[in-house]
Amino acid sequence: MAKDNIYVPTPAKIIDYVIESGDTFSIKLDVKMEHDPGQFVMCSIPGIGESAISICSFSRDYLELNIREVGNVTNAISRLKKDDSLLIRGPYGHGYPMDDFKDNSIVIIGGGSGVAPLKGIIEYVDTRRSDFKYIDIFIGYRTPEDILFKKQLKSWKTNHKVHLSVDKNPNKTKFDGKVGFVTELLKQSDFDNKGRIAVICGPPIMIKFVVGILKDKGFNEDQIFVSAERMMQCGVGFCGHCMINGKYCCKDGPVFRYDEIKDLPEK
Amino acid sequence: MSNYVLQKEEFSAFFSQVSENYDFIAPIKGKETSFEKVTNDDMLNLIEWDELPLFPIKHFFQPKDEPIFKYDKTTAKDVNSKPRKTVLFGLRLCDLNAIHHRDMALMNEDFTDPFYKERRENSILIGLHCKKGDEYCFCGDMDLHDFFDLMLYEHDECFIIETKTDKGLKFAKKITALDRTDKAIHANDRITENNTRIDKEKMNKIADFFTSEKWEEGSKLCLSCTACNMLCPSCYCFEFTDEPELVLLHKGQRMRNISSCQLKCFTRVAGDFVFRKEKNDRFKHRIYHQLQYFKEKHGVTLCVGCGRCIRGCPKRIDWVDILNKM
Ligand SMILES: Cc1cc2nc3c(=O)[nH]c(=O)nc-3n(C[C@H](O)[C@H](O)[C@H](O)COP(=O)(O)OP(=O)(O)OC[C@H]3O[C@@H](n4cnc5c(N)ncnc54)[C@H](O)[C@@H]3O)c2cc1C
Ligand code: SF4
Ligand code: SF4
Ligand code: FES
Repeated sequence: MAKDNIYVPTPAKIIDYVIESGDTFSIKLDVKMEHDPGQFVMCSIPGIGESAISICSFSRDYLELNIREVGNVTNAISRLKKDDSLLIRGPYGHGYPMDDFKDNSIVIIGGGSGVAPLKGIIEYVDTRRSDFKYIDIFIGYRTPEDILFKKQLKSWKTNHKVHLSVDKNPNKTKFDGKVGFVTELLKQSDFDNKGRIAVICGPPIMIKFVVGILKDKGFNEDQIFVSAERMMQCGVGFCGHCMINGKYCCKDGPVFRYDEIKDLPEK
Repeated sequence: MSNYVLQKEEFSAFFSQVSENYDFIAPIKGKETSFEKVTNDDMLNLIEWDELPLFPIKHFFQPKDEPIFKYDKTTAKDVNSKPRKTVLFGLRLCDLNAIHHRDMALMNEDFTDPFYKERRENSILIGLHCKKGDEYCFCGDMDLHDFFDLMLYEHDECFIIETKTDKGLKFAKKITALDRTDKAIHANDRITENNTRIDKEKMNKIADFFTSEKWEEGSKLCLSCTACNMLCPSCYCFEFTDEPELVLLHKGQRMRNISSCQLKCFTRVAGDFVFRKEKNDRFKHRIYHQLQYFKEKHGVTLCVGCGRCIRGCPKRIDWVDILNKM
């Protein structure tokens, strides 16, 4: 009997492979997939397993993923080369509601690997620049060696206002940014909430501080969007692993409007 | 819809007619009662008519482990599943409603679990009216409804059978051991005794008790043995593992395995971070998913009040009692 098996992934060929930092790389896949910024795909290496990875590009012609090597699947993907294939299924989840952001300015705040899905927003905005007002980008990394998307950073700086910081600079590396926490840069900049949306992606502790700062600047909770990360298996709201109390990170998220999850004890 | 009657002395004929076209699954007495395929007449004597089987029916729809696709290096191929037509016989209203809840969970407008759907479409649900609960049941407190294809109500010499769906009616028409009857199902037939015990008011306000320390009365005894999840007819969580062939390691199959929220690994992510690290948080998660979270999404509690998670808990942790005392 023919059935529609949603769990079966399809092969995707790697057409570009870029080492971004010591433990992070980007791959470009020969896949045309309609998606929203902030959505993710499930990536499989048969025999090893499957991992949720955010789509970090916005293009009709290809899909870009930025991956940090932290365990079995991500290590196995890192060992692939250009022209190799992996298996993917998706796109899944609720990404950023870009239609609702139209005619607004956007403040983008990212930390470390969290910058990846935000890159998708930047690329989306760049394809329809006149739909949006000002784009402020605040990104923080641990050290200059951890800075991701160095190639794209130049054009971001040309088109938008980029504020970059690193927590520390032990090797005294030259880089175009400040030493300190990205939250400090955010605090110091003067903008208010009028006609503005803020999107945050990064470690939970950073999200917590950033939300506080934004609220001090007058942002309402429904003007703030955050991403959540949880253990994922199915990606489609069945397996239960990604639950944040009653919300499914994979299906209700991974992008949440802050007021939707702020009262969850497990947020 | 019309009612049918099955004479008790005709049961063996009923079974043999059904098994011409269907697998016949029924609660079979053993060390513990569980749903098994009935393969011969002798097994009919082992059918449990009175007590709720300790084991639920869910493994029929969602086996403990099952292949979901085969892989070979970088290709993945669907497994050929040929679900057999199956009659699930002797289900209580709790188990039937648990199937309904599983339908809500695994088949929606966005995604459908293909294996579950196939098995559901190929199954006929035949209920057996439950006359009496035990010290653990509380189905009478839950909003259960008539969800079945056919339902048997036991009388002295026969069963009166209520048909609920077209599928059930079509089935009943084909089986000659079943005769049409004008006899109605009376209010008396529908009575189930001794099936309430949860404080409904407390249950409806369970969100208010999330931070209550009383939950620790239960969780401090809990062994994280996962029996509560495994025995629950409603629990449906799962995970995937890849199973390579022993010789050709690049070939294998991805398995779907039943999974338990009582284990730390359920929420463990890379870097060894565990979201529900404390046993108390895991203990609560199961109960809150059952009584609150599922209801937020689907309008009904996931729990159907069968009491198996208490009956089968090695520590007999009575979370209903704990909730009632909040
Ligand atoms: C919505 C979402 C988007 C993500 N986007 C990215 C991204 O763009 N780039 C990136 O590098 N990482 C991303 N992650 C994290 C990534 O999924 C994990 O780092 C990865 O699954 C780790 O798998 P592993 O096999 O290498 O590690 P192991 O520790 O060996 O993990 C074993 C398995 O557990 C599960 N798992 C472990 N950690 C996580 C986790 N943090 N989240 C979900 N499942 C996990 C996976 O199924 C994984 O295969 C994202 C996670 C989520 C939930
Ligand atoms: S069955 Fe009892 S002891 Fe075992 S995990 Fe469930 S509550 Fe804990
Ligand atoms: S939670 Fe317990 S009482 Fe409720 S359906 Fe599951 S096993 Fe039955
Ligand atoms: S990943 Fe399976 S329910 Fe969210």
